[in-house]
Amino acid sequence: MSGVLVYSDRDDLAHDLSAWAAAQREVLGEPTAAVLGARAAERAEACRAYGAVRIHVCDAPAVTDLLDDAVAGVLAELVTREQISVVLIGATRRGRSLAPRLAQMLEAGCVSEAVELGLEGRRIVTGRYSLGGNTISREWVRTPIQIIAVAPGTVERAVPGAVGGDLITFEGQVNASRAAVIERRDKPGLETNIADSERLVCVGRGLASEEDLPLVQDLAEALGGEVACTRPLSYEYGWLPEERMIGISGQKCSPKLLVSIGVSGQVQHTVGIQGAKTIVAINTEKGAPIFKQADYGIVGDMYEVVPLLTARLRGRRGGGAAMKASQPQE
Amino acid sequence: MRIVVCLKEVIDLAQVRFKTDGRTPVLDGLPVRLGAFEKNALEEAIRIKERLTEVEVIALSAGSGRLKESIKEALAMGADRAVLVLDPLLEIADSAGVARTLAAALERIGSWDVCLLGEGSDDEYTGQTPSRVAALLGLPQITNVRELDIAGDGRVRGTRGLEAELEVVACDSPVVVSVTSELNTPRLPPLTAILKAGRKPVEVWTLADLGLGPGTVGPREAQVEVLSNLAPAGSRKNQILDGDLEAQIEELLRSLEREGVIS
Ligand SMILES: Cc1cc2nc3c(=O)[nH]c(=O)nc-3n(C[C@H](O)[C@H](O)[C@H](O)COP(=O)(O)OP(=O)(O)OC[C@H]3O[C@@H](n4cnc5c(N)ncnc54)[C@H](O)[C@@H]3O)c2cc1C
Repeated sequence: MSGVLVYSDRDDLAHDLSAWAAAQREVLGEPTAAVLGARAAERAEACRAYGAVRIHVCDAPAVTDLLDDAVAGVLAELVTREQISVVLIGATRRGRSLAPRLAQMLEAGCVSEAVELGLEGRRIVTGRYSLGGNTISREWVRTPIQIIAVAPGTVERAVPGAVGGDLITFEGQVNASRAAVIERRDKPGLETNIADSERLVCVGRGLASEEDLPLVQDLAEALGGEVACTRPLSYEYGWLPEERMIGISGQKCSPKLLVSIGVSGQVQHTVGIQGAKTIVAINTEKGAPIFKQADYGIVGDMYEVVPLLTARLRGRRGGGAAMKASQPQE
Repeated sequence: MRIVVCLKEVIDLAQVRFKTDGRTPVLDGLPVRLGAFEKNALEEAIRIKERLTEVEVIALSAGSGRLKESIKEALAMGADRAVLVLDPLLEIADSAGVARTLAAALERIGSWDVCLLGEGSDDEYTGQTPSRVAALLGLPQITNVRELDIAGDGRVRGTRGLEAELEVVACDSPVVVSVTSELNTPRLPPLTAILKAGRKPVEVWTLADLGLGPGTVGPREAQVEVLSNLAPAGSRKNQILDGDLEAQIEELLRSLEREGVIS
């Protein structure tokens, strides 16, 4: 293989993937990176500590908005020029939509959201959720160029090493998209980082009304954690912001402890909790699928169980305020 | 204005069962339906049709013969007509093959303004098709759209839901747009519409009609080879606590403390 190109619109993911590629250099060849968009030069400088031997920098106006077609055009040219055989892309929302575009331009096979990434012999083997999250499809891309978008948290978080890597200004053609970004707005309610929380209380439709939310918020507080939810509670009812929604179309989390309350446990939801170390489920239905996903189960009404659990947790602490969980990274 | 909505037929995944090993999925005989996000796309197209005059909504799908039945739901919801590409090869095609088929069908349909797809399919959720179709047609793409506005002059404005922000992207038609479920709640067609759906035009094309075949619409593993596709090995304790509630909670807290997951 002749080399790896790493790109992400999120710098920390680009760093993680660069470090991963650098560690596999013997098999995969030289790691290179591309940094595109606003403040590209400065961001590329920060990228130099993560193992890429060359970092291509492009801050042309046509890529400031990071629109898929413009970005894919630049990456495709780099792939050809650098004779790249593997492109690793951070599977953010943008990355997930960019990767297949680039793949089509290069007639390449693509994995658009790998949650497992490893080498088996000389092959990169990926795992991704399949069949609605029921299964994990383990696969390898057999086209001469492989495009793999990797979900956040799949490879180890990189630590900066020796600063190296040449910065190269991209001199190729940059074709602007016909589309244009005309406005950016902050998403409302973005005050939590469920993906990085150490303790989560995840509530589902067992919660009868929005007024009852303090019940689970109190438990989360007693645990020193955050409240998360299933899709109906955010998308359908709007009781909690979508950033707290866990599942295949929401957040994937990996807390030490997840307490799942009034959640049936459909696969589209449970794929998001696979990473939890310990799972406790509370549900009135003994047959609820969530119990198959849980380490400990209490069959009972959340309106009875949760207040008692909260009170006992507070009691353990001598009635004092709950200790805060360790802060999310960064 | 002409809006084409691409729909995928998926099996009902809530009904997937496993072999006795608990890991190998059994998919035979499961009922099929149209994908959830595609219905959001179709609903939006119908709403645009209701708002603007002279909008034609075409439902496009590529797959197996069963589509003739399942596409009726799209027609009942309000699509004016359907175009189906049916071919045994499509039952084993990968996303590149499906994208190539849809792109060729879109070209043959001709003079459309907006192509709408779901952000991902219910089954594989890889979200590759919208981007691949757009790349094949050399068109811009607006993905993950949760608010959509199409003006009478064909100017499209889509609000994308990214991780931390909403991004409003504007583009003149033609453009490829993929949508998320926040966009709307798809209607349930009334019985009268279901009955009338059978009378709406459905055109059926083969891959050969589109100039495609085994060389261009490769089998599923032409690009990506699947080594295994199994449910994750269960590693949970599955311990249901018993005794009275107080005792259960005591035991739970002892266990959680022992595991070091509460402080
Ligand atoms: C393409 C697609 C993507 C999806 N993506 C996601 C996703 O990312 N995340 C997600 O969460 N869902 C997702 N879904 C939806 C998913 O399939 C389920 O519908 C959803 O997770 C169910 O949420 P729930 O468990 O809260 O509700 P329900 O399934 O209604 O379950 C409620 C549970 O609460 C229990 N209960 C009721 N009252 C009480 C009580 N008093 N005390 C204790 N327990 C009680 C009931 O026994 C039941 O088990 C997706 C679906 C599709 C088709």
